Amino acid sequence: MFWPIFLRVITSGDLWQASLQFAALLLLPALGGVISERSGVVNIAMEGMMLIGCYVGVVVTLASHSVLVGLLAAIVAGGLLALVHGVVSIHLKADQIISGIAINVAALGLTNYLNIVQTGGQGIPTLASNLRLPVLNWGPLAQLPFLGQVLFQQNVVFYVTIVILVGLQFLLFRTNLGLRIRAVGEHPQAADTAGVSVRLIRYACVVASGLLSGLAGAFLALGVAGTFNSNMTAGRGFIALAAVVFGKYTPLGAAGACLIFGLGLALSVRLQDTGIDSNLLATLPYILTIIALIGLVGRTVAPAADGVPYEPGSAE
Amino acid sequence: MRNGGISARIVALLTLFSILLAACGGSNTGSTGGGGATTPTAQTPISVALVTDIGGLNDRGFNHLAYVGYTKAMNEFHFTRQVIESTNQADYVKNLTLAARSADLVFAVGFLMQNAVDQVAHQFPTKKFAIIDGCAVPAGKQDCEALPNVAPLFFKEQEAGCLVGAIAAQMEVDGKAKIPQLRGHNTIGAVGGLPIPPVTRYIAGYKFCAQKVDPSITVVINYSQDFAATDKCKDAALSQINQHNADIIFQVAGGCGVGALDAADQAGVFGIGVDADQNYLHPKSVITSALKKVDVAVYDTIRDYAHGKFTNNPPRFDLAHDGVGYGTLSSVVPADAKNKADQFADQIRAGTLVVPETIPS
Repeated sequence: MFWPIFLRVITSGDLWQASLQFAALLLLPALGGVISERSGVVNIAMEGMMLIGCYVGVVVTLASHSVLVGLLAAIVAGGLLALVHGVVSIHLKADQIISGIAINVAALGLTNYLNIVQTGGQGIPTLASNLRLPVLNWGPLAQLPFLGQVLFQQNVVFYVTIVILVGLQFLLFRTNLGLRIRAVGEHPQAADTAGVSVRLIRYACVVASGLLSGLAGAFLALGVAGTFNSNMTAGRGFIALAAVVFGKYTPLGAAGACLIFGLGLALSVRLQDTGIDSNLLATLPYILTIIALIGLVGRTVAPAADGVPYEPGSAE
Repeated sequence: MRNGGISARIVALLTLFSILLAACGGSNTGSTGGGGATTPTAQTPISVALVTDIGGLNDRGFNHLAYVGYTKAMNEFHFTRQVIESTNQADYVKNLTLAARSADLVFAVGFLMQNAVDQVAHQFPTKKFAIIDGCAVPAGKQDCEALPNVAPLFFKEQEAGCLVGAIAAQMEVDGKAKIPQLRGHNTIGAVGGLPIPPVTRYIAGYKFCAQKVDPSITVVINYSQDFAATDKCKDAALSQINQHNADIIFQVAGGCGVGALDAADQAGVFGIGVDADQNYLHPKSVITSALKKVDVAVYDTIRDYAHGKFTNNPPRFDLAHDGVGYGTLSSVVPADAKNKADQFADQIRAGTLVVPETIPS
């Protein structure tokens, strides 16, 4: 009874389409985490930045009747929140973990509060289909058996995510700027001596992580859910954080981690048809991740100056 | 470290600010909600607190309804608003303790708070507690503990599930000829959050009465394992629609389940809302909602308490007590489906139809 259902599930385009979507939703904040940590700033606030992106995206879309304006607002909102984290951790040299926690709690409380004030507790209505980020139309490609559903019926943000993934991998490891970012994260004193502005690079990277998280929020709220719900990110930003470490602080590594996790999420619902207890199946994404961690990844080393504020002109 | 003092202070302020925001979400909304009775009698002042589950006040479902009942009572009995929104299951004990320190009657909204209520009710024997969907259960135990200061507020969700299951099954019987959006596979679905009793009771009634209308109907059931992540319920519903050709999806997952209704709407099939009337989300495709009148339960409990009639053994909120029911019907629901639900409702009230609490195989 188990194997026929397992085979049907594993060969359905539906499973892989869902896995890729779950993975992309995780990957955007994870890429934000990679770039921030590479520059030496610990960012655990992707969750909060993403949630703010969800809320601002939906509210602005409803107010402006334009999903593009809502998308931009979501991205900017994530960036602004990241700027707060930047000021606190780069300029004021405060504890980056505490700042991150504060931002996460504030984002949850603030979105809840504003949502209740705004709607009297009834909740935001669902968005009309012309006010959502659409599924990209690939024409005949979308009709291909299996591959059509998996690769060519995804939301437009999915493809943007792939472009950002490749671009970020290239930027970090194949360009001068990438070398500077990594230098700032590994040895800021040396980078400073070589004439690199440690603060500027760090601010830029932290804000970039916020922009990416805001985009992830827009993807979730404007692309997938079509509405805002309290706490709708539900811990995704923290899973993304794990994907950053698991992926050895590289974009491609994080993408691999997100894929495994996304597959686990999609499988955990569909394998319920086999009669396996749903509570047990809910652990599947985590078990798959642990197996992959043991089997494939090995030791992960964080950038040497990650989480350490830099004092310009300080001696070694 | 020359900036250490300033930065520490700023972080402390930030943290304080955010905790305040999280704890006091929605403190300006005292004026919403209706009911405002105008009998300025010289009652003894009461103080009542509400601790929500992690779904939050605006989950469009049972936390929201609890707040509606609370607000109605607040306007009538003039107590100060004390609402704590839980953001984490680890916070239940902390939040209930905080509430019990300042209020005399504390509402715990949700089955998941059973252990926490038991613990805190023992610590505050002079304070009264009411828990929605549950009772006081000592940690590590299965069964309710009857405490003099805890009122368990249970609902017969299976009766509401039965009525919407009857409507869904009758629509399947009517088939494509009458309702062209149906896919003709005689299959309906249910997307639950966690398989906990208040959820499985709904699904039990849904499946039981659907099979009573048509024994050959297929009912697919999935759990998203989440009450907040809207996209997970949307995915679960899509898999039911795509893989099983289910064409009526009953969501039993709070804010998460809003995604299941959205999936049904986008796929051109039908959804059924839960707890509150959710027809407004998709007036055409949400054919009805299984109602659980948490607002009635909260309001009644506060009213009784204000009149000095608190009981630790309140009646079960069922169809006969107007505690459950079905909501607004969409225009696509044929008259025979509504009649079927009303017929079952009469039988339940008369006691000739007893709906089981556990999901039939």
